[in-house]
Amino acid sequence: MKNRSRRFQEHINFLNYAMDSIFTYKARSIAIVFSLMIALMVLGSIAFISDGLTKEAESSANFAPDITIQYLQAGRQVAIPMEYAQQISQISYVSKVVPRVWGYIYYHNRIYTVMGIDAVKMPIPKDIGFVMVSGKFLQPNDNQTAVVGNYLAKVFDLETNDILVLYDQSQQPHNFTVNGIFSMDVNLYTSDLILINLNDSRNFFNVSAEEATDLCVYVEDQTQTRYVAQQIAQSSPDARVLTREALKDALVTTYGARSGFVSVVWYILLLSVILVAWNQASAVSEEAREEVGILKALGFSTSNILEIRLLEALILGFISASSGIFLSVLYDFYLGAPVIRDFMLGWAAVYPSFPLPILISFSTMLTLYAVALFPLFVGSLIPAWKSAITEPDIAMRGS
Amino acid sequence: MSIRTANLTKIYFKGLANEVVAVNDASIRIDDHTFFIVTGPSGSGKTTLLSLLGLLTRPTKGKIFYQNEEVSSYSDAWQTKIRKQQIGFIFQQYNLLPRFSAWENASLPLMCHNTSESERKKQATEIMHKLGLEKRIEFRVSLLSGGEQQRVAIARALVTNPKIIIADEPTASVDDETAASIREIFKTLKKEGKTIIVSTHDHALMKEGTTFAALKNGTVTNT
Repeated sequence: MKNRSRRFQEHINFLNYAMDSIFTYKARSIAIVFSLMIALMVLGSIAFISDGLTKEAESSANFAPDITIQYLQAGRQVAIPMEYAQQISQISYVSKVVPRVWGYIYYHNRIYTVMGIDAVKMPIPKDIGFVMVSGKFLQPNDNQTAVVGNYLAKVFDLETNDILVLYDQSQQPHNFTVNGIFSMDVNLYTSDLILINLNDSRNFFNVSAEEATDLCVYVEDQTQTRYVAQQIAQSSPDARVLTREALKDALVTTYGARSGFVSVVWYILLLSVILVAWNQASAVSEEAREEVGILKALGFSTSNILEIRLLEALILGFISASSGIFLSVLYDFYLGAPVIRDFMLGWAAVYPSFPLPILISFSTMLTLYAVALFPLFVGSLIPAWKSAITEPDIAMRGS
Repeated sequence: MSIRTANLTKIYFKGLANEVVAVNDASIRIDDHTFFIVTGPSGSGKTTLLSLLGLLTRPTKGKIFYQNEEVSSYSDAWQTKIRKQQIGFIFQQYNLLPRFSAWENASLPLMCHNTSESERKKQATEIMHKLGLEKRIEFRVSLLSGGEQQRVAIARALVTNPKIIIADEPTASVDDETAASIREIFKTLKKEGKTIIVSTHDHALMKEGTTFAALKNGTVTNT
């Protein structure tokens, strides 16, 4: 036991030595920590937002029905005739077909989605965290009522029973009583979505009872979704058939396309970080080389010297990564990620202001720490190993 | 601890235009508890011979024996172990680490001996007291005089209580008074029965020697 603690003492001695080296070579240490910290702050900020957007895209898709049917005319989406609903409901495994009438409105210089749904037939998915935070959901017999997301309610300072005035495309005002306020996992929907009854929506968007914007198809057996989609596509070649999975892929790809651009920047930055870390870590001064020679002459082994250098790299990398990640969290959460936010969400001013989706995942944290530590390890180890295997006499003479 | 060399040769930059034969075919014998003096003019290969004997560099040709064990072909790890356990070095240029205090420098070899900081300080302080450095224990070595630095280097060489002391011109860079005190230290070490190998031009120190080797152009001319 005593022997083991004595053995451990050697590592404590090396840790102290490594700490001393860090403080002695202050300029080098500060250069490494500062450059890595800034780079990791940017990398972390982008990664957290990118992860958040991907999660948002996936959650958005979960809000969709099993299959969404849109009607195309000359390659453009137009209202779908309601007889399609009748046809589709005849297909095996289809449990129900629910029409939606929805569109966009320009309101307070932002674009919002007004969606008319059948409050009775339209199921709200369980895994999207949909909760009424106040009031109640749409009731089938209530007219001119609306439920809105909590973030939108906050922006418009709306409370239950307040009147929300929306203007149709003829600029005619329509009054809706706010029946309830909901929250859900998808930030965009809580900031953008105004739910109203189907009939009110037909009236608002001037869509006849024979038509709908799209049809939501629900399948009894989820394993048969693809089969049902194929059947619909075959029977209605002028319809666009979107399964939830396809929609999820499309949404993730859309966000991915944007984050693809950011990814390029991310990888360039990553490469720069690795180069900076490598450059800083591998810059071995004559003094440091001579020190290795002295240590070896005094009985330090090659592995002792490598351990000291590894500990130095570990401490510097950990400090850099932790402070960089801390700054990126501050930047994303508290400052709202200025500049990067525009990169990630686009510059269009018409989208509603909504909380930036940020996700701090274990894998991203691990990646960020690896980005800081790996090049420092390699950059420190190789020159340290080269110095350590040099004969002490040569290292001390510096020739 | 007896040391023997057979046809020891060290050539720097072998095969290049600036090739230097620092030690040439040296065969010497250093018995246990002897005070071995290496003399010779500057550039004669004294430092290289000491480096070879202390396993700080490998010979180009020839062999080194410790207690009749051929150690010159040992792996780096084994040679390091021998240095750690058996040898204390005193370099001409001190080779102290300027960022550390006097006691930290003196106790540096104990770092890889699983010794705690308090124990290291205790051991280093004891030796520094004996060397008259009690008032310089906490000083940064860069603030010490040349003589004090040399005594810190001696303390560092002695802190692990090695069997062999190898000193390269220990009195060359210090004033007369300090040189005298260093000679006293070597006298004490001689009495303690250490095997001491010293290169020097200092005639007073030479008087302490029991065995001698003279080097000229890398060749041992007289033992």
